[in-house]
Parts: sequence; C-alpha cells; structure tokens
Amino acid sequence: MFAFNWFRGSPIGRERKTEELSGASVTDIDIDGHNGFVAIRADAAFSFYYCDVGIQYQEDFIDWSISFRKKPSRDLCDVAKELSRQTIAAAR
Amino acid sequence: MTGPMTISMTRRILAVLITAVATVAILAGCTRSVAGIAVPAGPGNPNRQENSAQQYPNLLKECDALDRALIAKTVGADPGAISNQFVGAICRWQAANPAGLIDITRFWFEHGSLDNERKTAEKLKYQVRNRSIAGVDSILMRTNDPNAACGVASAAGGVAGWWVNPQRPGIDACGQAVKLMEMTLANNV
Repeated sequence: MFAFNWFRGSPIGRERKTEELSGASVTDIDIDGHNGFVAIRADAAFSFYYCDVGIQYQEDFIDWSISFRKKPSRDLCDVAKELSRQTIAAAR
Repeated sequence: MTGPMTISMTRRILAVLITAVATVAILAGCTRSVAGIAVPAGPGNPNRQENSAQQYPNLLKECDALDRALIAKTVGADPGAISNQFVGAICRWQAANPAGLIDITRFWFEHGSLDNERKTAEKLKYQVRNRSIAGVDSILMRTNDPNAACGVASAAGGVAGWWVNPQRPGIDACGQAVKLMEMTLANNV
C-alpha cells in the first residue's frame, strides 16, 4: 500500500510521536534541505513491512507511507524517500 | 501511520488495505496530487518537528472522534465492514458499501484554517461552495471525478473535515461527508 498525506497546518511532531508510540524506529532525515523523519517497522512474524517518511515543507508537511505484506524486493525507505524528493521538486 | 490488523493490540488499530490504485487518488484531507501546489498554512507552527518531544493530548485517539461503526453506517456500509488504515491528524478508513468500496478520510489541522483549505481546494480546481454545518462556517468541495468524491471542511479546532471517495459512481458522497461533519461537530472536533 502506498499513501500520500499532505498536512496543512498540523505539527509534524505529532505524527513523529505517533510513529514512536507505535513501535517504529524513527530517525531524522534531510531531503534537499527539508527536515523530517523516517519511521521503519519490519515484523516478519506479522508479515508487515513498513516505512514512512515525513518531510516539513514550509508551514506544511508531507508524508509518504508504504507498507507490504510480503518482504519487498526493494528497500521501502529508499522508495519513500525518492517519492518525497520528487514531491518536493514538483511542488517548487 | 499505518499498520497491520494482525498487530492491532499495539493501540494503533490499523489495516493496510488501500490499494495502490486507490491511494494514488487519495490525498491528505484532499484527494489529488500535490504537484506544484503546496500552499503555506495559515498561522503555522514555529516549532515544527521539535514538537515530537511535546505531549500531545489524545495522541493516537485522533481517529476516535466518531465511532467507526457509525462511520460505516453513514456511508451505507455494514457497521463491521470498515477498516482503519491510517491514524494521526489524518485518519483513513475503507468501508464496503454494497455499491462498492468507499474511502473515507478525516483530517484535523490544528494550526490550519478554513481559509487555507478553501484556497488549496481552489488551486486544485475543486468546486467549492460555502455552507454552514451545525452553525459552523464550512465549505463543500467536489473533485469532478466520475465517482463524485466530496469533501467538507469546517472552521473548528483550526480546521477539520471529511472526504468521502467512492470507488464507484452513484454514491451521495457530499451527503455522507456533511453527515459525518455534523456528527463530529455535535461531539466536538
């Protein structure tokens, strides 16, 4: 599943904290000068592979969320980061 | 944030059911690609992601403003035929109306504004109409897609609203979105 979310006037910290509380491993990220976070969860026992990238963009933030039920052939975070990069580029 | 139903005991009771096709058409609070139209929010939040250290009241409860069975009933689905797919300031569900699946989005942007939502919708070339819902200034938004997706935004708690995106034509998405907003405002946002 791929989901794109555009938060207009909602703190990115809320979503970051939500990820942390949900058991994701969350780290900082910078994409083309825009700060954000990467949240990763991988649970083979539950067949759940997930990566979420949230990026601050001006007063808003955008979020790409990708999840698979099977172990994906590609790094989901690489895909989410690339989608985020392209979204930022397109928004300029 | 999304998660599997199989680990629903983790407090974020989530499923991952939006298909790639469906989600490409679904946007946060709105329902289209954002290419080239990112718009600054109104007052904004100066602290940005440093806020993760902050305490957010009702974290993980943002999507519980309305009972999910009630959401399902409102879009003509069996009360049990609904799954929660994304949680946070944006909440997503998918419900099975007999006429087809319906994607449902609730959004709540505490630092957002109705004016910003209106401007964003206009940039996305949605049809926008002013409307009062339960006495609260609101707008109704239509995307002009064949399935007649419809959203509503109300000036409450910053700005809050709903989108109803049927995957088939013939659903009264605007009526359902307004009903969801009425019930939300009746509860509180």
